[in-house]
Amino acid sequence: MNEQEMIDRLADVLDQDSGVLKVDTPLDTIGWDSMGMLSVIALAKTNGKTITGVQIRAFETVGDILKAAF
Amino acid sequence: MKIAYVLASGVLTTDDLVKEYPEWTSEKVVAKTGVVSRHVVVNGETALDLAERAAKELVSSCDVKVEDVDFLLLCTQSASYILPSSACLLQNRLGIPTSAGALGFDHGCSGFIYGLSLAKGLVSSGMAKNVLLVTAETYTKYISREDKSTRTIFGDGAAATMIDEAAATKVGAFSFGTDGSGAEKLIVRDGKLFMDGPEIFNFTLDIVPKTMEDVLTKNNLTRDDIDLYVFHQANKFMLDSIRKINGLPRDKFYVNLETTGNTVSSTIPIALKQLEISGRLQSGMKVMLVGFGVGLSWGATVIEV
Repeated sequence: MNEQEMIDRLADVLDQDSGVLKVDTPLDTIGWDSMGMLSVIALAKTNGKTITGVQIRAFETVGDILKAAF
Repeated sequence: MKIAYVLASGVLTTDDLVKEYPEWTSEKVVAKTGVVSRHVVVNGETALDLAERAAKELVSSCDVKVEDVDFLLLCTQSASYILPSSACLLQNRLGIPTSAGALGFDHGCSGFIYGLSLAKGLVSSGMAKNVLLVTAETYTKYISREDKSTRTIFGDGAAATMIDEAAATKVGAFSFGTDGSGAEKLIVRDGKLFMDGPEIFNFTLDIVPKTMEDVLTKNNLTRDDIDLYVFHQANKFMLDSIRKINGLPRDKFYVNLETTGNTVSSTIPIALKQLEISGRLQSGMKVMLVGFGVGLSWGATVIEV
């Protein structure tokens, strides 16, 4: 999966327009909240990865999610 | 087994809630939590009040006789007093014979499973003939107005279940688990509830598949033998994730918190009652019950309808 495909997948999970998301997009500009966190944890799980509560609360950008969830 | 349930007197809709949290829409909250409205205690209503109402509903609607109860189990984490046990208070309120045993225990989301195991043990061993198991919770009293995540999820309610000798034979073997190292992930401190949503979600995704396999093994069953999966109704997103990750068929996996919210230890008996009312429960069906949550604690069994 290339970077754009990951962003598209993430946008789908977060109910966002994929055009809005870039690697360096700050999460606090896209309504990042507790519901988004659970969605990303589920996404990571489908990719065989686990993101802890401590890790996810430290995420600041879309890039942080991509590194951890894919 | 005979089941009845009640919900707290007040109603808080998601439409009302999101007025306090403008960054969320009702559609978004309902899509994620599955909760359109939840009941909340008002006017000093207590878990003991709900427990009493549920038990009386069972008596009036399911032809259960209070005088036949020889053991009362009350599961609540919203006790009326530090002491005495709310189970003793409930015995008195219901007029259960003073010759009956009464035991209170304080589990949350796994509470019904643990209660069912205690009831089966009491009946199967001959120590009791008719066990009244009541689960009752008022988590909304612990939730801070600022905590929008948990406010959208939880609701207050109670359920009463009669386990007699016939019902006990329909309850299979159990799978249990406990991990107290996760206590801080869902805890009430200084009267306020704190829940680490991501960590509880991770715990659930990790423990449920293992518990399912363990309870199937203990009951000499395979997934093909299971007609329905009734899990603790934590929230819709979590349940949908569990279903997908475990490859469970949608038509066998019950999800319904629309008008109840997460009622903690009562979600499973409420779900069973809803299924009975809707006609979905057919004699001979095998239903897997799995409870998981605060403690951290989990448990499962398979019942035959």
